Amino acid sequence: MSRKAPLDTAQLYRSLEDQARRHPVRAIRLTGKTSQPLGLLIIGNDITAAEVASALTGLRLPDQPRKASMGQAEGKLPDLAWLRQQLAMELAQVQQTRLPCALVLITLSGASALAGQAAATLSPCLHPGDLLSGFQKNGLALIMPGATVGKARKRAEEIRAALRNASFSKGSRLALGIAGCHAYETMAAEQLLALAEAELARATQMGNDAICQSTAARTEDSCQVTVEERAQLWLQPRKASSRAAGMAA
Amino acid sequence: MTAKTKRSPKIICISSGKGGVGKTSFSVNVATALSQKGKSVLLIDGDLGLANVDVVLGLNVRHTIRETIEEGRDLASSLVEINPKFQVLPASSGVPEMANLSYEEQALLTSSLEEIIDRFDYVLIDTAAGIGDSVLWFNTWGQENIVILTPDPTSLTDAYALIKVLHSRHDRKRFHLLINSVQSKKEGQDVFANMSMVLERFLKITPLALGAMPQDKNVSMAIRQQRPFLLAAPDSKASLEIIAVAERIIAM
Repeated sequence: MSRKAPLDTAQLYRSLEDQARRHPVRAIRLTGKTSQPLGLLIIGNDITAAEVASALTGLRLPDQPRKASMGQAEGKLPDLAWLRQQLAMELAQVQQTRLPCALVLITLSGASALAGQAAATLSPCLHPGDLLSGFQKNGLALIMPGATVGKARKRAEEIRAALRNASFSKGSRLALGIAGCHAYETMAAEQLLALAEAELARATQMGNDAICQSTAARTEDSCQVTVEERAQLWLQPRKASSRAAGMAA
Repeated sequence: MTAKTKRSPKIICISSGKGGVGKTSFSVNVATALSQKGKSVLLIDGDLGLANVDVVLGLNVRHTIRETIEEGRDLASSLVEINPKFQVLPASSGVPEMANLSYEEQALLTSSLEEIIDRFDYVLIDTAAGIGDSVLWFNTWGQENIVILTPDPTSLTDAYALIKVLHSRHDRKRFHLLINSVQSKKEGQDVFANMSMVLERFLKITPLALGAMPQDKNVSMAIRQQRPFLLAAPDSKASLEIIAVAERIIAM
């Protein structure tokens, strides 16, 4: 389903997809060559994947990944209410797909008409599935489905570079705040938004076009083996190996 | 539609974190041992970009998983029969694009695999080293996770890191540890006890002992002959242990 569809149609399809998950059926998005979605195919789970694939090939309507959305019409970004609604849907998806989701908030102080110009500047940085909306008076919010905080951070750095190079941003200050949600945690849209807002406030305070990411999310995002774990892992096998080889003192 | 009675095979994923610890040799031999015990086995080469199962078995592979992903070819046509109870699904080698499948490609591979696995008792997946997306995905697709490690600190650390990621990010809790290349039974027990202690302390996981494979020159000789050591040296220490491991897998 292309997110460039009229908003109510997109929401209707998403709602149908969500409902389908609670029944022994699957919902497959049908996307043709036009920008409009062609529809939703609801099929029983007792039909094999091969039969479905074969039928879709026959129709020449592959289930394509959705495109990035920048709202209903060019130049006009959706508002905070839309962002909350989409965020709630994406966080529900996190539990379904077991894939993470990240939210990046961007503000550019001292520049006028940021939202429209910045959104246009960001177009090349958007990935399929991204959802871009306005945020507060002069900011942007970008939902990155499937992205960890680490990946969102890397992409935020690209976004910062793109905005810095834009002519309209000269003499202004950027700030970016990131928060993320993983499948192993349940988070409401408001919670994720609040986390990202706190990081945005921290970045604004730091100045220097800072990017800040949620500390909680940063900790949860990392599975790095700690010094203490390594010490425990390495200690005894060495002794055991020495003993086994008859090298103990 | 006629109702089909589908068997549900046991899907076992074999990983290690570190490379070169003997995953492929173990996978090939344990699959051979299971087939000798009358179980039908599919061994999937889950190292999609640098496949080795075909090399260890001396196979001339014509089609691989790659053709299914890229051309939509029927996965069943890529199966290679080793014996009437043992089939291999080979992967490609030297194809970086295959090393990290996209979400859509993983979904396609899952649906294709689900079409062929119901004819087997056991599906073994020999994954790549590391903690790449495909490794993690295969590990979450499997019902049981076998982690192979050696007494080397590098192997211990990488095996622990793999378990930590699978537990923290993918909620996996049941891990069977196979200690490879041990100098003695005691060394295997010590390594298992230490790893258990660390897993219990930091991750609150109690691993299960699958066995300890002894160092055995017959293993490397068999690899050079491109034959399972279970067939090349059936009375070797390694062969006796692999038979015991196969029995434990059947009892899982």
